[in-house]
Parts: sequence; structure tokens; C-alpha cells
Amino acid sequence: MTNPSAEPSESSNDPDVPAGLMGYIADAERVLMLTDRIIVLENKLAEARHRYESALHIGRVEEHEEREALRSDLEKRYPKIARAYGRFLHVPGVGSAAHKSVSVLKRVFPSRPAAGTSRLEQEISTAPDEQSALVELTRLKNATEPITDEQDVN
Amino acid sequence: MSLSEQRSSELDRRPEVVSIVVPVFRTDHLHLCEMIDSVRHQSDDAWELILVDDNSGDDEIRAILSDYAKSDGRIIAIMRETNGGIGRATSVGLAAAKGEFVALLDHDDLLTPDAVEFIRRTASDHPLVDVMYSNEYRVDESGENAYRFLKPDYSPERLRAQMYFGHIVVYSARVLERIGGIREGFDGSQDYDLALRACEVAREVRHITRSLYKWRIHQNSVSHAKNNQYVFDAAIRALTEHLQRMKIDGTVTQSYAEGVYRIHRVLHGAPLVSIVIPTRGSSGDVRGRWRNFLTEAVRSIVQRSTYQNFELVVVWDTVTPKVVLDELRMIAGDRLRLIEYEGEFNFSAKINRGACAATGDYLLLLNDDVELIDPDWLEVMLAHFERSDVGMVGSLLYFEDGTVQHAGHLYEGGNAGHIAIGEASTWIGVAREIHVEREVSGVTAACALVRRELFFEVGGMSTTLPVNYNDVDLCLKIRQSGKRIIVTPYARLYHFESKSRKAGVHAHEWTELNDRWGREMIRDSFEPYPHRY
Repeated sequence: MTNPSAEPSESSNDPDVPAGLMGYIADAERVLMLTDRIIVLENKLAEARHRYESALHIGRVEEHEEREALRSDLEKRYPKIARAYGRFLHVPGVGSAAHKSVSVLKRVFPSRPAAGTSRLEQEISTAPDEQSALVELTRLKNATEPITDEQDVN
Repeated sequence: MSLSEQRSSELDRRPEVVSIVVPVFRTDHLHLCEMIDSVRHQSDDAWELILVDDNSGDDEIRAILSDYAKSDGRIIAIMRETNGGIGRATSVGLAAAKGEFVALLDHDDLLTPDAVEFIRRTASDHPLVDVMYSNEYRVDESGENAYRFLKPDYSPERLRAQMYFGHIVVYSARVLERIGGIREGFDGSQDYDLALRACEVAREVRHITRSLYKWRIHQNSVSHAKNNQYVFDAAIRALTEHLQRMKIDGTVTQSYAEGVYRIHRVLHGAPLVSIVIPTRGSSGDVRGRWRNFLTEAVRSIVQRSTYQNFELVVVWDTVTPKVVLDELRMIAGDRLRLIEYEGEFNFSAKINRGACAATGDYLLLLNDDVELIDPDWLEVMLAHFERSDVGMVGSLLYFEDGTVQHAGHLYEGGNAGHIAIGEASTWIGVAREIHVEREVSGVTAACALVRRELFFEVGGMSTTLPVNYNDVDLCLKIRQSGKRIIVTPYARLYHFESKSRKAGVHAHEWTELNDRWGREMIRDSFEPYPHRY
């Protein structure tokens, strides 16, 4: 074993690290500790940021799921109508008509898709009807006269 | 934007076509048809299939290929008039391929229906990817009884020991062009040679963590055929040339009968290694005999190690019996440096103290309850540091009864564990991985070699983890610095840690580790079967 850079021991047969070196070793230990603390802090920050972003993501997913749960089957089946309906609700005089149009739609279309059809097939098969309903809603929106609940939108 | 518009825009961002190249030679007709049908029934139809009959001399095979080519414009059948071997046939197929990515498929295997879809998605998500490989199913001759064969993420060291990519492997046209495609003269291991050369120049190698391929295992498979020594000879030649290109000084031998190789690296120079051993000088029963752990550990190292340039830095607690230190002086002679540790027990602080007192270029962190098995352990471990991106090397450790104590760390679900712990010494792993040199997420500090400079760069061992997880933390710091961690089965020691000893991990230690590294410990990159251990 060769070790030219090491400070010589107090005696050639003494393997104990000389007391004179202990101060330097203590300094080196402190440097190691400080370097470690910096890396620990950096990683704790990175980890906290990761968890925060994950929590936001989970929150968004949960919120989305909650909203989905609140949506009626009709909304899920006719999303464009649902969006239009949502817009009309706050238009004075038209909101009640929108309510009416939905009740009409409920009568016209079955509330549940036929068994055995995929979601895509359902969308394709129902698209023309949905288009018709949108036309009807647009007509209602453009109506100059306020529509009362008693009037038949048909 | 309509759904159809969205789909077409997504499609625009994907590579256009995946070319699937299949060299065909005297295979079972049913298997051949099943292979072609598995391509035709892909969920994503952006593929072309190039079938190259290597002059099988079987009219029925040619008729099958021709019929399929006539029935589907995406299928190209090439009939060679002479037999040139699998390498030549594959080359012909590659030359005809027009896709941005090329996948290799064997004539009797099957693709899962989503294979092309996943290949294209991976290519789209990783624009720099040049090589992709997926997990696979192993199926019987009838194509049934599939079991999933999982693989680690890209592990260049392991690739030097075995062709763990298996199937399916996909190459970019760019990388194939750069390396000149497949080489002849490596039949049986032509895929291994191609993978090695491609990975040398690839911008990115990706592991697709999904089984996309069904490898039919039967008696006629090349890898299972008798008299297949030519396959392994070709692999050794491929590896030897790979070492030369990578400027790794070493030789290749076959370790096991089936496709496992050992790189015998040449160590240049003889850097000083500081073996840092924290101890309190305790004794215990080993193989029915009472012994002092420290003195016997040092005795085994001093007497058996073939590498000579090391010093022993022993960090001893104040309670260490004087008789132990005296005996240590006798055994270790002028290699020994003794430094006292007077504080409360803190493994990290003791290692750090030893590292500060050490003078070597490399630190070997070592527990005092070990016994050396392989005399050339230091040469084997040191030789890995000839690669500048290697930061740490660990060893294979056995319990007293010969069962495995450590074959690398695995980090999964926020927890850390030992790969193969408790397995018999004869256990070679699901894919013989236990007995090959490979990348791992970390290694135990019971025996780990690290560059001293790197150890200081990452702040040494964290003293706020005094008992548990300090080595996990150190390994994660080292990997964060961009360095690889290797475990080698050719540096073996006994570690007399009691198998029955409870880990004794406190909740606050787990919390501390996860507060630092939780995001990095969700899934282990290199151990695909973490729940086995």
C-alpha cells in the first residue's frame, strides 16, 4: 500500500489517525453535511412540488368525475344540447323555453341507449336527431317574442 | 374540431408506417399463416409487411406468401433464388422497407393486435427514439398458455451480458442506415449484433412496458435447438467487436449454456482503494464457531485479495474492545488506519468520518460482518470505473447459509428492498439476470465501491438517516447526478446479517426518505418483478 499524500502517523507503527488531523476531518465532515443538507432541501422542494402538482391533477380528475356524476344521462348522450341548454338558462325569457325543449327531448328520445350498442355507435346513430334538436333550440333562441311555459314549442 | 379531425391531426404527428420484416425459411405452414394474420389484424393499420422467403424449397410456403401479397397491398413477398441465411434474408427485407421504423418478426411468432399502435405511440411520444423493445409473451407451440416475460428499462451493461431485448425490437430507419443494417456472418445472433451496434449510436433507447409479441417456444426454435453452439460463438464475436468499438478493454466468455456472457474487463492502473469499515467490534456465531466479525472480515480481505493497493480505514466506536483493535493491528499491518467515533450510533456519520480520513481515489463502503469469497473482487469492481458514467458498483452477497442477501436494490411504491433476498444461491433469476452484471437502482452500503470525488460531490451519506435508508438515499443522489450504478455477480462475499433480523424501520425514516425521493421510487426501472422479493 502506498499513500504518499497522507500525513505521516505519529509513529510509523501507529495506525491511529493523528490527533492533529481531527480538526481537518471535522471540517470535512461539516462540508459533507452541508452539501447533503442542500441536496436534501432541493429534493424535498422537488418532491413537494411533485406532490402538489399530483394533488392538483387528482383534484381535477375528482372534480371532473363529480361533474360527470351530476350530469344526467340525457346530458351525457346529447352533450351539444346540454351545452346549449346551459347557455340558454341565463337568457331572460329563453331559459324557460330551454327547460321546455329538454322536456320535449325527453319525450322524443329514449333516455337510455339500446342494449348492445357501443358509445360510438350511439353517437353516430343519434347525431341527426341531436342536430334537429339544436335547430329547434336555435329557433327558440331567435324568437323575438318571449315564450311562456304554457306555449307548446312544437 | 370534430372527432375525425382530431384523429387525423394525431395521426399526422405519428411516424407514417411501421415496416415489419420477416425472414421465412421452412417453417410450419399454419404458424406462418398465423404470423401473417396477426399483422393483418392490427388495431392500427399503418404498417407494411415484408416477407422474404430465403429459398425454402417449399412451394407451399411460396404459394402462401404470394396469396397473402395478392390479397393485401401492404404485404410484400420477396422470393430469393438462393439461400443466404437469416442475416442475408433480413438484409433483403430491410432494404425493401419504406417505413420510418422497422420491426423484426420471426416467421413462426405472433404480434398482439395493439403492437403497431404502441410502437407508433412510443415513437410519437419520444421524437428522438431510435431503438424500442417491448415486453413479450412466451407461448407454447399452439400459441396458447402465454405468460408475460417482463424486461428492465434500458440497461447497457446487461445488454453486454445477454440479449435481453428479446422481441419485439424496433429500429429507426435513421439508425439502420447509419450502422449499415444487419451484418452477415452472425447467423443465430444477428439480432444481438444488430442491437449492440444500434444502441451504440442511438439517440434514445426506449423500453415499451407492454407485451406486444408472442414468442412461440418449440423444439425447432433456434435458441432451443441442439447443436446451437454456432449461435453463441457468433454472439461472442459480436460482443468482442462491440467492446472494441466502445473502447472497453476486455474479453468475452460464455457463462451459461444459453446466451449469457461475461465481460472480463482489464483494469488499467492500480488506484488506491480505501476500504471504510464502521465497527463496534462485536462478535457472534458463524457456522457454529464464535468469531469476532471485524477481525475475520479483515483477515479474509488481507489474505485472499489479489488486488494489493488498498488501505483499511476502520471507524471504531468507543466501546470497541481493545483486544479487537490490537488483533486488527496485527492482521492489517501498515494498511490500517484507525479513527475513533465517539458519538451516538450513526452509520452515516461513521462512514463520512472514514471517508474524510481516507486517502484513496475510491471508497469501498464495507460492513464489518462480511467474508470475502472472490479474491479478484476489487479488480472486478474497479474495472467498471473505466467508464466515466459509472458512479457506484455493488456486489453479490450471501447469507451464512448460502442464500442470497443482496443482488441489488429495488425501489417500488416508495419502498426499498433487496433483489433476490432469501433465494437459493442456485437461483439465477427469471431471465438469468442475477448472475449477470447489470444496472440497478441502487446497492447496499454493506459492500459498495464509489468514486471518492463523487461521494463528496453528493454530500456523502446523510446523517439525518442514521440507521436505515442511508444507502438508498446515497444511491438516489448518485443516480440524480447522472451516474449509473452497477451490481456484479463476480464480486461475492458472505454477509452474516441475520435473515431473521427485523428491518426495524421506523415510520419517520420512511417518511423522511419519501419526502426526498417519493417521486423517484414509484416504479423500479431495472427490476421488472419487484413483488417477487
